Amino acid sequence: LIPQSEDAARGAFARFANEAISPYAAASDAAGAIRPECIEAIRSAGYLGAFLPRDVGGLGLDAVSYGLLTCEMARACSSCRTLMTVHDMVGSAILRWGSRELRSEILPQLATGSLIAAFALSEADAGSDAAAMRATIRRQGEDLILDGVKSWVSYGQTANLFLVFGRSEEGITAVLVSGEQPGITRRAVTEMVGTRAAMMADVRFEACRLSPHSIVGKPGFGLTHIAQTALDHGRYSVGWGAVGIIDAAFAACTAFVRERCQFGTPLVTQPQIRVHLTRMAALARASRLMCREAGLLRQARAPEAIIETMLAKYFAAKSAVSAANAAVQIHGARGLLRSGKPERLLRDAKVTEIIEGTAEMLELLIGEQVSSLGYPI
Amino acid sequence: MEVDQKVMCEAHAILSAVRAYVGAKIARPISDHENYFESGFVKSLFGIQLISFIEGRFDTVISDDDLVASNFNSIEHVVAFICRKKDIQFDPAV
Repeated sequence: LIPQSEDAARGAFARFANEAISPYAAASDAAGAIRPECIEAIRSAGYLGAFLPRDVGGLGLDAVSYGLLTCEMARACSSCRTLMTVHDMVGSAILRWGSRELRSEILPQLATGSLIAAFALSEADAGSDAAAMRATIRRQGEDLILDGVKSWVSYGQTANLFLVFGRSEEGITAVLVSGEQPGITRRAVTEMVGTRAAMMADVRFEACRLSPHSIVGKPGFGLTHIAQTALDHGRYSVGWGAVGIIDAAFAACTAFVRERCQFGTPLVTQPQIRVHLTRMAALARASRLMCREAGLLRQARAPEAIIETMLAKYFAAKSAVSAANAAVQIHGARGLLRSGKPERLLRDAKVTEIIEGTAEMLELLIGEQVSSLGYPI
Repeated sequence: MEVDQKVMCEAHAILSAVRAYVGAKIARPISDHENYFESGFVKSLFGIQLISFIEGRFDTVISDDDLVASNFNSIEHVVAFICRKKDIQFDPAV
């Protein structure tokens, strides 16, 4: 039932991930920094901003193809998937709400990867409750002055463009800030256990002077429209990323259980192992179908796409944690070795339950939708 | 006269659709001119969901220039906004 074109696209993305990303994933994770070869390969393939339209230099991938790319990237390396996620969250916000000038200036640079973008919304005391942010954007003459400290910024160590949110007179406002801007200091966050190579940083913006043209959308619409547009894109990306983790967990397990013998027989013959594999296969299939459905709705620009994306991300993230946990269990003590794959998958899977809307926040939002509107939504 | 009636029907159909959509999202009685953002009855997602609904249902494109609070903060204002986009006359008093 899947069109041949989708299979072909997935095959091409898988080959890329196997050749250019997988060989470096463990080393990137161990070092806590993505290998430059990976960034260069992703950039050269045009996979940064792959969803951007061709007229700004993107590949113009439709939502489903973009999802398949994201999935294959995560199957190989969730930190590389994170690069695409945050870069494209910023791209999606600019594409949707940026002025004509911002779109023509910034989007081609995002598509070529000459700019690497990061999303700076959270603060130490403003996570799920983003409206509690303290960063400020005030007017001084013609200029804007940005002050504040943003937390948990993936690729904050290296990004040369930030989409930053702060309080202005009109409400929360979104601005683009060059990484070269005076007043920026970055503190690497090296203690993360998941997506360890995503070069996370806390970023301080101190008296950063900006042009009013750096505003994305309109003042006061930063949280309700610009951040939400980016987060919607992020949830779609993370949902597919979770599918990639399930695929990787399943593949690691099926290889292992054929090879590993206990009680004189390969593990695959054990009924309990087959139960694990059956559950993983079901989670993989269901998560993929939900993400694909969300993708088709996004392609149709259906209003339901936002909530279906949320639902898909919620389910896929939960499933990824379950599948990665099973992979560790199946591998026994080997599953917990730092040099093995299952423990990395489990650490990376847990991240998908937290970023771009924690599972608990999604339960609140989805629960509210289904209780007022029923299901299907 | 016939043209006016057709235009009124189109505007009324838009009004009905917006009332149904916003009413379902808010899940409480709301008047056409009540500012639901100020009332605090809408959640964080409502802004982009409303945009998506307007674009999908009424085949129109909303750009950064349209991001003005008074275009989206009540049923009446949303209908007036859609009618302006579609070049349809809308009189909330009718």
